[in-house]
Amino acid sequence: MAREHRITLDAPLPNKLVAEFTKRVFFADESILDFRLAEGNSAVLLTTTEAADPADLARKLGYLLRNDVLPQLVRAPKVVWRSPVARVPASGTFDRLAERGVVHLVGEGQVALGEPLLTIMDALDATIRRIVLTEFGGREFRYPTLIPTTALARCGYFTSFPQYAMFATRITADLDVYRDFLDAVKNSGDPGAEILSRCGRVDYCLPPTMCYHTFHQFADRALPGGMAVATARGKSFRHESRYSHTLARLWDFTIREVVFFGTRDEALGLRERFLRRSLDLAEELEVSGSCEVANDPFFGDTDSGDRSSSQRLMELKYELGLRVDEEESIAVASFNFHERFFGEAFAIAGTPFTACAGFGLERFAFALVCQHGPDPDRWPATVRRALNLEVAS
Amino acid sequence: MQDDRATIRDFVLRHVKDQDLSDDQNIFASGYVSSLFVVQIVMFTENTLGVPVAEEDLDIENFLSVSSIHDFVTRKRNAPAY
Repeated sequence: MAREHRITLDAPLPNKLVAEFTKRVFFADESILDFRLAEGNSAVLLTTTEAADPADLARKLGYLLRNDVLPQLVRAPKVVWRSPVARVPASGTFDRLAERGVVHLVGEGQVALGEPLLTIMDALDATIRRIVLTEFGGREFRYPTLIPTTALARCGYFTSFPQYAMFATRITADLDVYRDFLDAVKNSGDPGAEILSRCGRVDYCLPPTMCYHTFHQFADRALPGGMAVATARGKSFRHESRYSHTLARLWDFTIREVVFFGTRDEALGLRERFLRRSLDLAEELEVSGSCEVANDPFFGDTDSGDRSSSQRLMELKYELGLRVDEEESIAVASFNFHERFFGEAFAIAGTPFTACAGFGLERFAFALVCQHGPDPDRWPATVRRALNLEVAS
Repeated sequence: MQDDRATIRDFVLRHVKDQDLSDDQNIFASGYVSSLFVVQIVMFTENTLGVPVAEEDLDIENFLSVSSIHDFVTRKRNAPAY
């Protein structure tokens, strides 16, 4: 049975930090089912499972606030682009797609997709891919799903975003272990609880994005001659806890990623040029939204707050946000500059500066459907042309 | 007493370790410091120079070089108090 708790904060949370707090609360404790700020942001009202300990919850939320949220230097988001069109889609698009059988929730943050979303995602990807290959001279790669744990450790993923990490492991190859496992599974009503104790190590992870694959690919060696732009599309995985909803936030999704290498000026210049080209595409697609300076939700380490602050202040990250209903905009793409962080971490010869851009294809397709409707045949001809959809229908 | 520009230059050069860095050069392009240094610059501006950095001042243009930090500090010191 669910329980309610009221946690008093040491001081009211400033409005400008509410979003940074809100995006971390579910990660504080798995027992939290729902929450809202109350009493002028001086208290948090929690709905939890029965097992929750209020003193423990207060301690964890207090730590998150002091460590990750309150140290942040925050200003109103700096907007670098606003769409020429302003459209506010009606809410309930996901439910309508579910009624038509286009989407089906199959697990936490996992959605099965059908037509026309598949065609829209493929058309979006083909359009972005064409831009990368023909206008930016990109080289395309395809990666295995699994990425070595050592690769993510090498670039500090686990100390930056431990909350998102998802792992792939296996039962230790040993006849006795297999036999013991078989017995346990036969007798257990909960096989999921029987697995981890019989696994030796976690040598592989599910990739949180594609660019780590690219950096790992070129670790400890030189980039192929003349290569400045690499691109890949692949399934990506992030544990979004209870933040997952509709197609806006999934645990299991698809990214088209572009990685830029070069001197500082080259990497920054490529990011800027690709950002502008992507905003042109957004205008061709006649979508309503904006592009703003953003930051990642660094979590739990001692410098988490400073890292978010510097990301915003230095404009290391821009996000293209599109409206999906009256209240919500979702980030369908991000454009990031890493300085020499990944070049150093992966010992890429010459220690290049790097930048990357990633498009969440489910999100982008969902935003298009929210704004233009579920039937691409009835979209404006200009939008269909921009996605080369003329022939597909 | 040391003037603001000299204090700022000392602070930046202590971290950048490039004695040839001119006042107008981008601190972060030097490669000696990462973007995290910008947070230290803001703290230095507030704590050492005693110039509060308001929300609307959190713009990279104010912290990119010794000169831009100095211009920002001078502007804030000369701003009329309300």
